[in-house]
Order: sequence, then structure tokens, then C-alpha cells
Amino acid sequence: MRVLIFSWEYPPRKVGGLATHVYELSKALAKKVEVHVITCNFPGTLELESVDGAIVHRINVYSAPSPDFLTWTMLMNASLLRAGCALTSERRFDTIHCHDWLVAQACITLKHATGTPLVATIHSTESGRRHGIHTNYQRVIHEIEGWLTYEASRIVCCSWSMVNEVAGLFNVPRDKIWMIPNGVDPEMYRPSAIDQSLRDRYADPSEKIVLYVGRLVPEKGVNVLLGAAPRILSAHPKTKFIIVGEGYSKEMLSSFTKSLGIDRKVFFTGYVSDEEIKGLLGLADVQVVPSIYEPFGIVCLEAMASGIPVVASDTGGLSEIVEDSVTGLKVPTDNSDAIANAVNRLLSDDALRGSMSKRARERAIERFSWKAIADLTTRMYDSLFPV
Amino acid sequence: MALRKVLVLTPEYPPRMLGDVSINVHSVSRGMVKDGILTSVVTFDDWRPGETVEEGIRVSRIASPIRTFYSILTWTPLVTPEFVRASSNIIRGEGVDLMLSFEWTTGISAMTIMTIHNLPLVCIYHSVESQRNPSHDSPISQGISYLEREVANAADIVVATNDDTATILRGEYGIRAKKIAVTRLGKDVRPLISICRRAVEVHEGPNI
Repeated sequence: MRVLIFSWEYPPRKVGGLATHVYELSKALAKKVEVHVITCNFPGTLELESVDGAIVHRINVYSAPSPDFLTWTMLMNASLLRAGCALTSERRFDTIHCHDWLVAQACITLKHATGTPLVATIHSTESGRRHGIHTNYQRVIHEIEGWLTYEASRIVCCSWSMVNEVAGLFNVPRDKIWMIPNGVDPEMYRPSAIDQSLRDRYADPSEKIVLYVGRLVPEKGVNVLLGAAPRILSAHPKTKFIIVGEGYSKEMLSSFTKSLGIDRKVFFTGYVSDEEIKGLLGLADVQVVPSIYEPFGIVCLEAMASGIPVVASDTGGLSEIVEDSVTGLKVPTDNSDAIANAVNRLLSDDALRGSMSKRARERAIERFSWKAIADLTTRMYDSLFPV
Repeated sequence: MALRKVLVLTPEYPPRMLGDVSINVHSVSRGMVKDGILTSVVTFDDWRPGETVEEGIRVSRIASPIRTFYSILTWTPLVTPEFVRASSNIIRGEGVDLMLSFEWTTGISAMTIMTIHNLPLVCIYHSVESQRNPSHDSPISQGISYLEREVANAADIVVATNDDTATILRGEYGIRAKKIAVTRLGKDVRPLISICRRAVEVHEGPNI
């Protein structure tokens, strides 16, 4: 079997969890089937390379002038489509696998041009990200998502909560949707010794570290975590909050931190490399995933595999990953008091942190290995061709 | 290869008429049928999607899958899959020897089809962006110019319906003079048919 994957992000070009997902999935799939990935180029990367067996084609998508992101996306699709046409005219693919609305136009066009079955993974929806559809801009994206679910022969969602969301929003028959979770590499994310020089950059030796990793956008609920910080600091004054990531809410969050008078206790790192994130996971006493909307929550899984106790919102995929009081603590969404209580409980109880750390890693390995996910994905591909 | 079956891609076709393009595509299609060429037209028409045969011409009208209009530069790529779907059905069903693509809005579809189905492509420009929009410095205009140039580069032959357009195609877009033909479109389609026959002869394979 030969599979052609389209994704607008692929490492080192990383915007959210999509890049990691496609990177790991394509590597795991390449052990079983022939895999090609068409993606956007990135400075300093090769146009064509084999990544553990997956052939990655990076396409120049920055030639066309665009007034805004939506237009840029459409012209990016035109560039990716041309690459897909060139590739499919050389060899026949059995399946086209589209990741999210951003590459839907290229994938649907190629499906019709070649007669190749289309599979789509919907990682999140515009309606979920924006709490409804409020503008024409959002409506176009919402309609593209619906169109993609209509054109795809199989739809993959990474949690049952996403299955319900996609089926409900777009009237998709349930038997067309496969729930295949995200995965984690337990070798890459594992409990590690503290990197003292890294720790010294962020916190005093006596301080506990509460970590957030993710985009700084409203749906991630970083403001809710910051709102909990004063109560956490009042119970545990020697605590440092490390906020890892970038996003358009960064300035607002920074101002909010100052208004709370805790700016000396909160460190915004900006974008950091995967290696440094792994190092920071080794330092953290607790990781908080305060999302308002979270289709899956891969950062939570990475923390669990690293043996870091998590406090996670009881929403979306997080509800399915975390077993409350066993592999982490769940809190209601958008509730700073609940986050403060949960973090304080963990920071006060070394034994609880130890047991959760162990159980969390066991759960991550048992249920979320990329091999298991690739097995399920190839079964889903096979279901397109009943014997 | 002889020219027996032509596929025409156009953003407008009667009764949908925004300008001269619709009238000219209609004349060209009728002229081709009269000359014994099996002619299929794929066009956009949100109000009349479906397939009909009109004056011996097979007409497939497609609708946009996205109902919300954002801008012409997003609309065009979003309607592309429907152009490609309808065109591919015709190609697989009865075969096509050559594709005629009118204006930049059908360009992405034309480039896709010519590559996948290895078809000769003649693209026709009544005008280009800098003629329609003299201060074409907005990102939208530049994006349109970019697509016009891409399609012209991919085509086997580029037809300009006037000398000014041909001059811009050569000067600003860098299209080789040898590849450009100037012909006015009207009732007499013989000059265009002869250009199409030449495209079939010179076509060596996908140009992208």
C-alpha cells in the first residue's frame, strides 16, 4: 500500500501539535506501508528527504503574495496540489490522507483528479476553537471542514469527544468515523535527571516549578492558570510558573500577570526547542493543561510519559487521557480556584506526586504508543478496500 | 493525434454572463461543434448545477461547495475541486484530446487536469490583471497576477485576444513569444482551432 499524506506543518515547521502527530505517525506507518508526506518548506530544510522511511516533500509555498491567512492558505494549497499532481503522475497512490482543513482543497482536488480514496483527520474544528462561528472568515473555514468530512471516505478523530463534535456539527454518519488517538514516543518522553544548568536559568534552587506548554491563545486557558497563581503562591510562596509557547495572546497574558503582581514569579519562555521542552519536563513538579477547548491534548500525554503529574481541564480529549486521582487530577474548565486547589494538593503531597507519576507513564506506554496507532491507522486504510 | 474532443473550462457560460468571456466561449464552442469536434464545457453556475446538452455542446455546470464568499482569490481555489471532478468524469468517460482554459479563475483546475491526465492545454486571456486594475499593487492583485503567470507558464500555447495582453504576457510575465498566439474570438473559430491543433502537436507531456 502507498499513502500520500498532506499536512501544512511538519517538523521543524511547528505551529501546534499537528506537526508532531504527522511526523510520528508517518514514521510509524513507514514501517508497514510506503508513505509520502507533502508539506510546506522551512528555512534550512531539505526539499526531499527520507525520515525513518517516510519520504518528505517540502514545497515552496511563499511565492504568492497574499493579503491574509485564509488567502495564503488557498494559494499554499495550489502549490501543494501541483506537487501532489507531479507525484501522482509518477506513481499511483492507494490513499490520500488529509490533515485538517488547511490542506483540504488540495486533497479533495487530487481525489477527484486521480480517483484515489480520501481519508481526513480532523484534529479540531473552527467552531470548537472559536466557541461558535461568528464571522464570515470563520464560516468559510467551518464550511471547508464540513466539505472535507463529506468528501472523505473515512474520518479520523483523536478522541471520542471529537467524534461527537464532528458527527454533530457536520451530520457525519458514525460508521464513517474512526477514533484513533494521538500517540507519544515513550523513549523520547521519559523520566529524566534534572538538568541543573537549565533549572538555574528559570528558578531558584528552593522553588517548585509549575509548567505550562502550548500555544498562547484563548482556547488554551492560560489566563485561567495565571488566575490560580496568587492562591498557589499564597500556599507555596516558593513556586515558579514557566509558560512555554508563543501565540497572539502573549501580550495580554503578560499584562495580566503584571496586574496580578506576580510577574516576578511567571516566566514566559517564548518558543523553545523540543529538546528544551524535554529538559523542562524533567524540572517540573506539576504540569497544568488548563484548556477551555482541547480535542486531544498531546502535551498532557507527553507530560504523563515523562512522569510529570498533571492537572488537566475535564474537557475534550483530556477527559479521556487522564484518569482522575490515578494518572492526574481533573478540574472543571475555566475555574482558577479548582486549578489552585489541585496544584496545591500535588505540591503538598510528595507521595501522591510519586504514585501519579508512575501510573501516568504506565498508562501512556500502554495505550498511546505510535506503533499501536499506526496499526489502527493501517486497519482503517484497509477498510477502504473490502475483500 | 487528431483534434476530435475538446474540454473547455470557463468561469462563465450563457445564460450566466458577466462580460465578453461568456459570449466568446459560447461562439467558440458552437464553432467547434460545427467543425465536427466533440465539445464539452465545464463552467461555474451556482444557480444551475447539473449536466445538459445544448446546441450539441455537453455543458456541465458546477456550484461552489463553499457558500460563504470571502474573496475572489479564495473562491477560485475552493471551486477548483468541482471543476476537476466534472472534468475528470468527462475525460474518464469519453476521452479528451485537448483542454481550453479561459481566464485565470480556471487555471488551477487546468494545471491539475493537464498533469494528471497528460492533456495539451491552451489557455486564453481576454485581459490580465494589470489591464483590469492598473494600480495592481494590492496583495489580491499580485496574487491574481501570480496565478495568471503560473497558468501561462504551464500551458502549451497561450492565446491573447488582443495585442496589449500579448505584450504584457511577454514583457511582465516572461512568457516566450513563440508560445503566445494573438487571435480575436468571434464567429470564425478557424484560427483558434488551428492553434489548438498545433498545441496537440507540440505537447510533450505535463509542463509543471
